[in-house]
Amino acid sequence: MIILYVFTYPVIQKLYADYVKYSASQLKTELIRHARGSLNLTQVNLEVESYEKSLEAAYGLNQPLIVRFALQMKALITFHFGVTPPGVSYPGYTSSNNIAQIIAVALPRTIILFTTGTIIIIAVGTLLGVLAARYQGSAYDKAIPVIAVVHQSLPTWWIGFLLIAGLAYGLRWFPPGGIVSAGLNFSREPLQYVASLLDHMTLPLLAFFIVNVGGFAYVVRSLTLATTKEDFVLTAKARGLPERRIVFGHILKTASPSIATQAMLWLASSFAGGLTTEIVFVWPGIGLLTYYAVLESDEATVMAITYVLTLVLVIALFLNEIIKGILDPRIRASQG
Amino acid sequence: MSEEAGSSFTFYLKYVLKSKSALAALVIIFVFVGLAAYVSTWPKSVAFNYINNLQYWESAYPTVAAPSWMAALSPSSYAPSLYVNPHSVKVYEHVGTVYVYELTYIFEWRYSKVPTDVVFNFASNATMQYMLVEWVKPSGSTVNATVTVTGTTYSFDLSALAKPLSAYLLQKTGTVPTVLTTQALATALFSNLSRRTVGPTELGTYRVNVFIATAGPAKFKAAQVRVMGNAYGALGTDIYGRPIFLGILLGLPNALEIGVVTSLLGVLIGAFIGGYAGFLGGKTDAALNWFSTVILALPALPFLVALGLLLKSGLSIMEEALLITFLSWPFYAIIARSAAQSIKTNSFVEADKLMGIPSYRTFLTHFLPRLVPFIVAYTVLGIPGAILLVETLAFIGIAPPNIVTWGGILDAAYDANAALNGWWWWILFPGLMIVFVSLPFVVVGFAIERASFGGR
Repeated sequence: MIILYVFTYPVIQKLYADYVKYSASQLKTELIRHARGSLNLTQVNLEVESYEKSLEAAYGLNQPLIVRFALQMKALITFHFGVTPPGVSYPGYTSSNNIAQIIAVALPRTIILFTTGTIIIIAVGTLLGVLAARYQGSAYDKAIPVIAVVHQSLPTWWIGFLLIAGLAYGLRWFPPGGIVSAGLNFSREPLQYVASLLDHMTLPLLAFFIVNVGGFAYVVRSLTLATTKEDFVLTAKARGLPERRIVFGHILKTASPSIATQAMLWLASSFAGGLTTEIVFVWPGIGLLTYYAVLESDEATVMAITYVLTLVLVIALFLNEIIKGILDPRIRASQG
Repeated sequence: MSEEAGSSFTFYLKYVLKSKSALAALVIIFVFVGLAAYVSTWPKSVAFNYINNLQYWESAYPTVAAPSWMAALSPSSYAPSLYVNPHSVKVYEHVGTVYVYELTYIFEWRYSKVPTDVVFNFASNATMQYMLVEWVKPSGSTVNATVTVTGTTYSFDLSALAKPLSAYLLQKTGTVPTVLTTQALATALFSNLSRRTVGPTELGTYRVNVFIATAGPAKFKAAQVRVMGNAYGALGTDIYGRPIFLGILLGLPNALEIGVVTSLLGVLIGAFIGGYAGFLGGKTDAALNWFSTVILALPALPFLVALGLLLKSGLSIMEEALLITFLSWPFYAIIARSAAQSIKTNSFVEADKLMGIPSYRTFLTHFLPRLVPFIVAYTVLGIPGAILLVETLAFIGIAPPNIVTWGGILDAAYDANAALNGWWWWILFPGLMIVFVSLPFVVVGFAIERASFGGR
């Protein structure tokens, strides 16, 4: 985290300074516009100045470097990202203008969509990949790289676009976008809410699945292929074990730590990679929030999102180490 | 060293040429590159015009027209666009300095769908003063309309003829359409109105006489009647009337350029830093590895979006390529590092060290040539990813200004609700192009990878 901070230090300082100046000028125009008559210009200027001072104090811009660093670090660790610029709000999320709160609303929505998607991909991809490795050289095995090649060059958002045109507007099977139908409230009608949520999730999940499953199956195939040639697989075959037990009990179990690494990386990067998918499907998650923030030139929110996503990635990498330890007895043995 | 590199090069060439799919992919790549080279010889104003001069396209091509082959597939719902040039131009009469020219247009109409608009486009070296359009349908019934013109260039569509055409409709059918769209006005010119209702479209040969009065003898630089159907060109047009095909061609050189530059730079930097780190080992290795891991930990797309936002004043292609390179090299550095570590186990490295040859020379003579297959394979494999990333950024709206990108075309389609309105050609073809350009690179990259790292 500190590393990231040092790395982006100039950008952050510029952002903070810009932000303070921008907020102050915005406040000034707002005050002049709305408080016409009740405040004179001197009072407005005083008000703006005190606001600017309070912002500077909050970000530690008037403090020496070390104090500033500590303050900004503390703000980052405690998720104090400040507020959106005056006049900028994200109605699809929450009425609050606290960036941390907006992200807190957006992140779970993204996680619901892309975690579900990634889990489906991991399950299906692992199955396809392991089977391809098992029946190496068959037509089925040869199809996997082809699918991977095609999928590697597909933009998710374009597939989403086509799906919306075909299935949502053409055949009217699924809603074209959004997260739930308007007017539904989870506390009042939970069942309908969940049903509507699933209905809205289908198309983005489909797009995500189409683009990513081939690549994951290919990775799993490569990882598993080495295991298939090992002696113990031959031994298992010689022992006359059933095919299913060889594939899932021996091959998959041995390859699982490296597959888990890949799965974890895909999971972590799926949050960030879903940006365009969310835009196309108007899914009000973190990606759409980034897009809106860019459109509104809300630099503070964009920086906060980048920070949170990096944090998620770091946490995922950390979890990955733990999971690898659990799955791979060799690592456990060497440590314990 | 050169011998080694040369022989390995021919080895890869042979290997790639042996595989039929890779050979086909190479041919396709060459076709794309040739096309891109041809397109990049076009003047810059074409791309500029495409993005900024929207009025030009609206009168030149039909808006949101489907591909013209749709008219062949379903003639009942699609009408192609015809660009009719004069069959004959002759002086009808001249009184003093006023010349009246008669321009005759003849065209066949075989589609039951009425066109959406008709555009008349004239430019002459003498001032035009008056224009009479005499429209003769295949059945022989005639529509007359007059236009007052001043100037040497004049272009108008049916909305300029709303008065005479609606009067004609009233006279023939007894009613006037409530909303006088160009489509409604076109029924006056194309439908059979003999039974006092708007009947089916008249099929057959249409004859259009345009009489133009000019001040003095005139030469016509442009004299075209454009029958705007709802189908045009190989791939249709967008909401501004811009042909999708032209946009796709204009986007090709940018996509290739940025793909190749980004990928090559990323792999080269990655190979140098990663290779050198793996070669040296120790603290330098640890520091460089740590540095690349830090950059690798940044989520690419939001980070690029944030940077693009900071640089929103407009970044050039090269700046954008450098930004993407900055995020992509660590990935290659990590792979190059492990490759270098395995090269390091060879005894000639030890021998060099014993002979006192400086480490940078060992690196240059023994490591880099062995990293060449790695560089080539990953450069080729990295191109599709780079193209995809650039088009994605363009779709979000981060792209160099005054440059046509497929992502930008799709962004415009998204903004115009193309999916809702069923303008599938606007969505389908630019996206397909991204896939078509990426695919051969992936195929060739896989072939090189198989050649250098053994079959998997």
